[in-house]
Amino acid sequence: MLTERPSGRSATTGARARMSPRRRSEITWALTFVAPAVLGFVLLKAMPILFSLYIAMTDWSAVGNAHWVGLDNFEKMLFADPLFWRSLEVTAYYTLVSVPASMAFAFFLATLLNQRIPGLGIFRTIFYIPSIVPIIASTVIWLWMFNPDFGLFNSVLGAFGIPKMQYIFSEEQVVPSLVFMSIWGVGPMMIIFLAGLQEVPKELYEAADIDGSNAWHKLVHITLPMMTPTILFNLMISMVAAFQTFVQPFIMTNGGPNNGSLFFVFWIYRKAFQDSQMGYASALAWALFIIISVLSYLIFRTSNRWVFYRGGDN
Amino acid sequence: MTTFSRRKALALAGAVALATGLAAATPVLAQDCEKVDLTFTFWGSVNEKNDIEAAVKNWNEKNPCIQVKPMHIPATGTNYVQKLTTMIASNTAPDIGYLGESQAFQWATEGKILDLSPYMGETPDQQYIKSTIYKAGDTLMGTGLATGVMLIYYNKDVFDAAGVPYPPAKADEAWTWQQFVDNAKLLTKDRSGKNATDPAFDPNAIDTFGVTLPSWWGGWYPFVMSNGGQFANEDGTALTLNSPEAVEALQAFQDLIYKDHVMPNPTQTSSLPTGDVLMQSRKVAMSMDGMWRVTDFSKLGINWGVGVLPKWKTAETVVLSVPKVIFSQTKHPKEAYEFYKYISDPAQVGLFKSGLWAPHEKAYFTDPELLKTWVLAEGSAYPPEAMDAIVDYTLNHAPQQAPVYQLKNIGQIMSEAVEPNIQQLMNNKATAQEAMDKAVATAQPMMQGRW
Repeated sequence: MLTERPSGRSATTGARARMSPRRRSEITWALTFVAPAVLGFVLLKAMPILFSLYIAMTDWSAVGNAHWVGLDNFEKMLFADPLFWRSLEVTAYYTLVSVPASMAFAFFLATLLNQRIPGLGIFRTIFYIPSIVPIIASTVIWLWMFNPDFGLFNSVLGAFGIPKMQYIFSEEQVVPSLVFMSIWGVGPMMIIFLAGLQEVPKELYEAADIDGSNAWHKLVHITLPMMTPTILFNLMISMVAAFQTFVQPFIMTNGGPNNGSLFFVFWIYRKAFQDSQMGYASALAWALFIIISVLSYLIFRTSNRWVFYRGGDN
Repeated sequence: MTTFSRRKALALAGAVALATGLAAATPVLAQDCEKVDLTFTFWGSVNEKNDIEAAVKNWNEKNPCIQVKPMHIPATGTNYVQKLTTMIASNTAPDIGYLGESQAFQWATEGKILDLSPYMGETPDQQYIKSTIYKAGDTLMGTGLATGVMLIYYNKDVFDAAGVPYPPAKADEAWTWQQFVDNAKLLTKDRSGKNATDPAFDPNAIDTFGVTLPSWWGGWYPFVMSNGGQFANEDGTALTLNSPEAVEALQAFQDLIYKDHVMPNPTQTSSLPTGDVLMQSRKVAMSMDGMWRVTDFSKLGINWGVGVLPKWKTAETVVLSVPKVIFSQTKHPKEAYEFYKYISDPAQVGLFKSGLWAPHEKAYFTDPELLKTWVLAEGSAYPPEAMDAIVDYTLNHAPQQAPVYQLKNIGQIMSEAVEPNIQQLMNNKATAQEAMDKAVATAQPMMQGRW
């Protein structure tokens, strides 16, 4: 009875009637437990997302009436707003530098922390700790360290006779400074790499040892290929996170100097809540969604050329 | 059918009591009226919050029929705007509230702000300081909650030590820009004690700066005006900050940092404490800031004074304020307006006496009795020269309303066109001419005229 399914056009009520009380109770409970998540998603996520697509086509200011403007917001963005391109440039620059840099550093740390050395637990903890500091707090601390006059970095560099740098107070150095800061928070990525490293089968290394490979060969020909799924995962996650950078410009630079750190999401926020251009801000948010989707798609499409899954055909 | 309700009976009793002159002896009957609840949103420091809440409490005790709920919303970043946007969008707007000018004007055109013309009469500018009356199209949004002029604060001890006369408090005696720079140089000292006029002065090791000026528009726009420059043209269709007058004043502003070496650059400023603390620690001799800083300076225990700004052609300053509005969603506009007047009344709110707010009604600047409610009050925070440097200066030497209260789309013009280029200027990345040409060009598509 349990496996019996209504066939053809037979009424569903008929099927329900034939269901055993136990089956029915199971389904009821299943739906009950699933309901909060589904309702939560529909009401709190899906509906606002769809609503934002609608207001992206209006000139809504959040307090007044919305007027339908069709694709005007998108047209303005592409052809009449230099700050759209400016913020895209800043965000892309940051992503392009910070993602590879923090991945390389996280991988390097994970490799070191995968060795059998004394005090391993302590080192792993030390490198992870920055990630549990609330981001606002760590941002404020970095603000102090970047201070050109009293900050830690210039004091240290000054001891070597290196002239003072302006860090986040200079249009040219602000993004590199924030990249440097992002590398400090690679803890979670490092943990994921570490987990990946421990999944690499020991017998491969043993076989390589017998064949007389050195450490470099093992890294390039065993570790890296075996780690490609983990690398893909970290690449996607950190790319999306980098495109959504908000706290640093919000707390540290206010988008300056001269829009040098006008990150895209910060700019959306400014449009929505400072300039009350909720319609335009929604259009920008959708533009960001499209950009991230396209990039993710491209990464996935190329991934079958370089990602190696154990047990796969290649 | 003559149901003589309890309420009517009480109302009648009240009327009789009033008529027989017993009102004072009769306790206020809370049930004697339709109780009205109002919400009032505001921002400000802990001190401001306490003062405002005390004033509201006082109101609630005296007006049992109009109960006001104070709602303090911190103004960090755009937090306040965000919260109010949400409240209005969900039809739960407060009745009365502070509101930043760029939102106030925009929301007024959306019909979210009550037009106060029926309440304030035909000629509010005869009663109030002109700069604090806000009109968006036909909507009279009302007044600012208080006023504050831009001033020079100074540490008398630093001036005495350098043998430099104090900045004048009377506008007629204001320093010229050149006198201002010369004096600032005498006050700027490097670590070996040489001042900025000394050929051996080391600009890379400055210990005491002559002056700090804010980088937001309040710090430079008064000088542009004083030199005959303007922010925008008559009809508000183009910025005019690249006019020769504006450029001359702004170039001199940049020169204070990089040529005269009397002012810290923005990087240095960002790592320094606020003007009042700087002055207390003698890191700076003069600091340009708003009148609202009187409250901070008065608590430092230093020998301080206030003076008027240096001038180019005319001794001019600018009056700042924050629009205080009644939201059109209110169900009780009349009662809201009663409270609206009350909360800017110097006799009721301690912030006037303590030097955070100056009044916005002209009478308070001329009537000796009314002056006693704030600047001349017992225990007021103001120094004696405030009668010239604040009272006379506000009333007679701030002839123009600041552009932020007049230009449409000012928020975007400021944050996207003006501020980035002022940053370039202050970071010595561009001359005043270059920076302002760029600002004017960038602002062009954003210009939407005047209100």
